[in-house]
Amino acid sequence: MSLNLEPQHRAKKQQLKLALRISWRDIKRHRGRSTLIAALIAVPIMMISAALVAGFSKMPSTEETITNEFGQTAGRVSLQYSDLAGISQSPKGDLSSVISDADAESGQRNGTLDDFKDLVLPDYDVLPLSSISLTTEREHATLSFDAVIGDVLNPAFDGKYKLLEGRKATSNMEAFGTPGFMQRFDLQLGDRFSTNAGEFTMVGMVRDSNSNDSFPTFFAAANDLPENFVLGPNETKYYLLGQKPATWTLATELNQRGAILTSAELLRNPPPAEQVGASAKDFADAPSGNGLDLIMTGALIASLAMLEVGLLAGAAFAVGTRKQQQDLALLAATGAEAGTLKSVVSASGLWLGLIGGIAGTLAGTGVGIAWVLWKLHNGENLLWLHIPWPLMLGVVLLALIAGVLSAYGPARMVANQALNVALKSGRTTSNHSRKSLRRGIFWLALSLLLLALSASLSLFEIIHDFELRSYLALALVIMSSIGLISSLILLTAPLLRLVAAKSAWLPLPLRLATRDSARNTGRTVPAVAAVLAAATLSSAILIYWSSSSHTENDNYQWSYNLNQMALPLTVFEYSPSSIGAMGTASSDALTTRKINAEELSSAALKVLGDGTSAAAIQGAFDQNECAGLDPNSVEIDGIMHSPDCSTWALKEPVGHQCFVATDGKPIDLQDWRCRGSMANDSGSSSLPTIVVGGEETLETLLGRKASPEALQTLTSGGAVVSNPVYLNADETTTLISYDANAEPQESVDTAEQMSSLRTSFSPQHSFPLLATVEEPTKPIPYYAVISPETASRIGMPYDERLVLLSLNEVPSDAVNDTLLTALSEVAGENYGPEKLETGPNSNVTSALWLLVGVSALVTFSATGITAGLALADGREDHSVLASIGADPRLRKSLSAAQLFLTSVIGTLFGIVAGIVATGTLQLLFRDMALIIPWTQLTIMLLVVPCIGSVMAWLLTKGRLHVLRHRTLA
Amino acid sequence: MSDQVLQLRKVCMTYGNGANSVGALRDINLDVSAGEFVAVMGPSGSGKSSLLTLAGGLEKATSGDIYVENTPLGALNINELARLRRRAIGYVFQDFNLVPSLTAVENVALPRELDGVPSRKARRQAMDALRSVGIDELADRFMDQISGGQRQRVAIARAIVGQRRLILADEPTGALDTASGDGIMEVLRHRADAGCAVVLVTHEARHAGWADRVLFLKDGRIVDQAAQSYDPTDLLELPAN
Repeated sequence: MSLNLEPQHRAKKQQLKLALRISWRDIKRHRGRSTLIAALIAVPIMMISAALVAGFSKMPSTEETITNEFGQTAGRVSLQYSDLAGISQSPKGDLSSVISDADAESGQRNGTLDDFKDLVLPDYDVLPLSSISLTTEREHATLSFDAVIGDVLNPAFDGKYKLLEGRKATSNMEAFGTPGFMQRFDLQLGDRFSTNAGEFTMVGMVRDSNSNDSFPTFFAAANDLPENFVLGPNETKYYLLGQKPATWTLATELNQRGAILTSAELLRNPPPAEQVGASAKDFADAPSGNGLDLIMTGALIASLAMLEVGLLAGAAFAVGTRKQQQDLALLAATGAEAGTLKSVVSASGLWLGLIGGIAGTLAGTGVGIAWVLWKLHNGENLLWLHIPWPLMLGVVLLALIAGVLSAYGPARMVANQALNVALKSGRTTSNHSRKSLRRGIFWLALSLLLLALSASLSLFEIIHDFELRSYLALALVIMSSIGLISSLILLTAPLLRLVAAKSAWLPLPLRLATRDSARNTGRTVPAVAAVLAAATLSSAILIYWSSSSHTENDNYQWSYNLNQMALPLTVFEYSPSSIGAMGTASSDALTTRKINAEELSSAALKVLGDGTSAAAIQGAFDQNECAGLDPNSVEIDGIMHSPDCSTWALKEPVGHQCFVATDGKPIDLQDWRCRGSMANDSGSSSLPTIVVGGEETLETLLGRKASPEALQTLTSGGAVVSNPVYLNADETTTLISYDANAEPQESVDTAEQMSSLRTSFSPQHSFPLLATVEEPTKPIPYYAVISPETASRIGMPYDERLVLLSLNEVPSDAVNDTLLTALSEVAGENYGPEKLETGPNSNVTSALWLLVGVSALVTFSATGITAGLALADGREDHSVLASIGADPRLRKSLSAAQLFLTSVIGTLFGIVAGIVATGTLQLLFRDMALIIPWTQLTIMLLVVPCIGSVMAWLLTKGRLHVLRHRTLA
Repeated sequence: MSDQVLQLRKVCMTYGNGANSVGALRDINLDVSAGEFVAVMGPSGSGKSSLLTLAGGLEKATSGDIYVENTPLGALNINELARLRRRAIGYVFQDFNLVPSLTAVENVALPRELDGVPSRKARRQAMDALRSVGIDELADRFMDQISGGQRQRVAIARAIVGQRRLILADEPTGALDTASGDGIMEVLRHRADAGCAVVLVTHEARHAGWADRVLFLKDGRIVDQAAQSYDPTDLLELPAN
């Protein structure tokens, strides 16, 4: 009678239980190795968990928002233009970025409490709080600060404002400040503080829950302000004190009076979309497209990081499994099926993933909590300790999956091994090179296909929806990156065989290393895989950072040349009657005041010293300023029009226009017509578009000496043009004037969009001028320099517009303060120079090297961990070598050579994978150049293997334990 | 019905290919019945261990047929072979080959648990097996807490648990002192007397003396065999042909 060899009922379940028990015992037996693997999984999980706690702690719950915004009140009413009926608000009221779809029309009056009090007074008491700017004098300078006027310590505002120190106001002219305010103005409780609204005694320190304690805010009662100090209605919010919920019905009624309701009830129970009406869709939170590249890069890096964890832990599992091989073979001899053997190793992954996941999540949560508490302790109020438990469980699950997946590869390898070979020697040599080669080529081809698909999605805009296209391309890039890494791992074994076959000429240690690596691919490939994954991640981060920094610098809009600072010569002032509360003055109260350039220059030079030069820049009138001052101006639609005031510019010759794509960027990013000064109406500075001056002015703008040709052109009545785009074929340029305030004409050809708005206006006058192109050192925004004689000849009105200071270095804060004071003495109290042009972030290179260091450390850690495990695995080889008389030096050289080989191949493959993945991803962003930091990558390629080899040399012991071979035959 | 537990018919085993091939076993015919204790002797490289490897289903024969309990091994897939090993065959190795992370009783219960027997029942059966080899008091010890002889008894207990009728022992006394070795042989003899078929590979004629039949292998062939009435040491003196 034959034996019954059918599987038993419940056998699978029993085998799984057994696998879990055996693997748990094995973990306990090999605590060092198990701790290492669990730590490899725990570290990224810790970072993810900490980031989740920190991120979620920045998002308040509805109840927290309600307490922060309203305290104990039912809500608040903010005023818009009261004459405007039909205003429609978001259910979130003034907390929504979309407040109203109303069009403000000139002539409408601002609202007041009287406009809506009949709607709220029957049910609520009204507590007004106004946010305004006040000023104080500090050593000749006038400093402004934010102030909240109202009864902030009313119990109705519990939770919104809190008295931290001191006492409530008991008499008039007593005020409070946030800790930041007290620090900023060096105040103690009991000190007197002078403002443009009077002198106050500081009696308390108050926390505003809606801003950090470091933010300086002043609090005073409304009746302490002088009578002539008018609080603007738009600066005031009316808080509703009462028990009745402020509902959507009240909101719609208030909307009819030009007011907006923001209430606890609406936040807790927002009205359904049909009740909000047609505008509900408009009020939906807009998708944040700005952070798309960040999300995509984050997703790619997170995927690579998880892959890194998987491969690194996989390498550790692979080496561990080799040590476990004997036990597994025994199980097989006892009758364990291949599936059971796989289960035992996979169960180790399950346990270690669980341990790593729980440990990492707990540690990360701890770090996150500590960070939040530390921030809260330091006065950051826009934080609420939130731990997203369901997501944390998800993170543990992620670790579990990473553990099982990283153990699965080695488990398969072990399960497929011939039992008898394993039993006899406990070690096997893998010889699946041809199979690996075929699989590697297949995966490589598949990955390249996916990359090509992703690239064509980006390049040919196959899908029109940008977000959908981007996410699809990202998914393809992630899949192809993983495929590429897998293919390179699979190709490692054939490559090692090739290297070994050609290694006859190498010195003995290297030859032994290549042969051993090629023979023991079960040990080498996981080590290469771990280094490869680390190097891919590192190089991807390096390339992305380098490219985005370069793009940011490339797109930087220079206002002036490096270390130049503009001192405007026109000051805009409000009429004295409107001074008091900011924002209440209307445009008709605006006046301009001219400042003497010479006096301003000498005051600045006196402070800044000899290294600084000053040049007064003359130029065409600003059209709006000109029209504002022209008594013949006519106001149409709130804009002053004057027949004598124009905007001056240069006209691009036909064929020199810069055309832009639908994304607003030039169709061809490298198009010379879209680059340089004034190429696309770029730049925001006080420089006149057409500068009037001589050699000195030209030098200041160019940032260097002007060429003789340029000077010749200037003196002979021509224009020194800042960009070749404006040069006609006959070496002339066309100076035009146009009315920028006129209605723009319809574009002639709607299919082609030009980057310059100027092209949609008809020129009023055109003047052909002889021209020489002299580009400034930086693409600063001006068209051309012409001489005063030329300006007079063509009838272009001009005057002194600003003083341009050229500094040798960035001044210290103390020098800046002194400069401010000196300029105020000449130009008046509210005078302020423009910000010094310091250019784009200049720390790119040093930050890049720092990143290289961190990346090298990550890659080196991967190398070190896997090499350490591999060295432990290869200890028997060293015993054999020692037994045949190899001196420690040879064995040390062998270890160093093995590590060198592993890390060179891993780092090289990793860099290739990083370049390909990041390069494809960046195709999504047309304006992001792919900058590969070759120097840094080359150094990483050299440093990691060299340091690794040195470490391997040092860590290989001279003396060896004698090992007993486990053989059965 | 035949009570042959193990049958080998014209079994050949060759390692390597072409000019590099080495014949480990050549035309081996062998029958081992229930209750029979067969010792296999021979010099190093004679094919003793290969014989056990094939009989245990750990490797496939190059040619010929092998039957365990009338089941042809050549027709079984890898998973069926695994089930065969845990249901019908007990393997005892020179180096004990016990899983160090398991206790004695867990090691013995392992084949039963792998076969889906609930842990508690498997443990009971394992305790019976340990009792039958006289070390049930060591049931909860780990392998590094017991002596070599005791470990080998655990290995034998594992080989017999679950009514298995074929015990393949590959130099089970090789790592033991004389007294322990004799104790192991006694246990194996008892198992044979209890109805098991035992195949023992050994270098020591003294141990072969416990067997009912002794086979002598040389260069992959059975060159002679003797019944128990012979002194096994005589075999060592026989001419090669």
